[in-house]
This record gives sequence, C-alpha cells and structure tokens, in this order.
Amino acid sequence: MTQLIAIDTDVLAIAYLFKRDKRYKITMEFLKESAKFQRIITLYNLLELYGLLVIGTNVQIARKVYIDLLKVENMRIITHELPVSWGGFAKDLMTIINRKVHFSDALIIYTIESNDVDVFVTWNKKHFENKINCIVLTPEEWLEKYTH
Amino acid sequence: MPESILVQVRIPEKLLKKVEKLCKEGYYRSKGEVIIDAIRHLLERYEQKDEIEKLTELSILGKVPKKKSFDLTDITIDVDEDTILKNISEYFGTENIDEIINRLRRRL
Repeated sequence: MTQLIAIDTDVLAIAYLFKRDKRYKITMEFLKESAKFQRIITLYNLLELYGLLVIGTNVQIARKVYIDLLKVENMRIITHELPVSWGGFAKDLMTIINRKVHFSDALIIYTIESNDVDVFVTWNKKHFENKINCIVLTPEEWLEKYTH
Repeated sequence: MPESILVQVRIPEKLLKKVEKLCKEGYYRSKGEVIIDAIRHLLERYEQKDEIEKLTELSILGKVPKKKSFDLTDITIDVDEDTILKNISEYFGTENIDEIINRLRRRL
C-alpha cells in the first residue's frame, strides 16, 4: 500500500518539545508506524516547527533538528510552485480562504493540495476537516485505521 | 595559462544570439568567454548556499542523502523538558501546544 502522509506541526512539536502532553505516547507510536510510508511536511510547517524549537531551545538546536528532519528516511519537504504571478497566487489562496480557512492554514492546504497528498495527520483536525482535498486524521485515528 | 579542455555543447539558437550580442556590445571578447563567465557565476551561486539552504532545496527535489535507518523517533534534543517548557511558557504565556498553534496561525 502506498500512501503519502503529510504531518502537521503540532504532531512533531509534541514529539520533540511537549513530551509531557498526554498525546506524546500515541504521537511517537504514529511516527514509528508511519515510517514505512512516504512522509512529507510542508515548508510552512517545517518553519513553524523551527520557530517553536528556537523559542523552546536555541538556534543551534533548532538548526540541528531541522537538518535531522531532512535526513530522515521516507521524509521530505514539499512546497507549492513559485507563483507565476502574485495575482494568480492571491486568487488561488482566496479559493481556499473562501472555505472559511484562516490565511496561515490556507498556505498549508494550498501546498498539500499541490502535491497529491493522501492523508493529512494533525491534532487540530477541526481546522482542516472538509476544508482540504484529502483525508484528515489524528495520529490516533491513523493508527486505528492503518495498523489495527 | 591554466589548462583548458574543449567541451562541445549544443546551445539553443535564441540563447546563442544573446551571447553574440554581448560580444558585439563589447562586454566579452568571445562567445567562449561569455560561457565561462556564466558558469563561474552559476558555481558561485551554489557555493554561497549554506548547509540549510542546500539541504532544503535538495529535500524539495527528493535528493537529500538520508541517514540509514534514521527515523523521526530517533531525533533527540539536548535540552531538559523543564527548560523547554519554561522558555515556551515565558514566550507564549502557556504550555498548551493547541493554544500555541492557534496563536501562531492567528486563529484567535
């Protein structure tokens, strides 16, 4: 079974910074079990995580984790195409914002929808469900659906 | 003069015309000189990229050399949890990741 899984910032933030969060164990289980699939992270999510790492630790550690993430097997960054025109980019983003999505989430959705992603895994499901053209699952739901 | 090697390259006609124009305008003495200068500039551009820049671009292209059997669960942070949460709490006024993400994405 092939599956392209996009991972939201909160999932990785819990794994690396919020180890006391009650979802930590299940988050780590998801990361372990999803290793056999191609995982991706949008550049926007990665930079968001980098920002949290800088605040929680320091620039050196944030850089190390950023580089480590890129070296993980079955993991890569995705972006959308560079806009041919800013007008076209604004129009495309508005199409997503019209789904009642906030601008920052719209950037993530725009990137994901440009890359044929199958599943978006997030702990913030309510902000994405029915607003993105792929399956939205929490790590817990992903584990139930694909490992049990 | 450093040793040079002859390399034959096919160039689109349109591009070649632009190269010839640069020679006619006196910027270069020959087409070869234009091409060498262009290659030099291209190489400089890549050499100036730092590790993060190079790896980010290679990752987007799916070409980053991977660490064998290295997974997301193997990434470690050499700072204790109390310090991390203290830093985060001081900055955001909360240790709740859901609230922090909401704030980062300006949903509040």
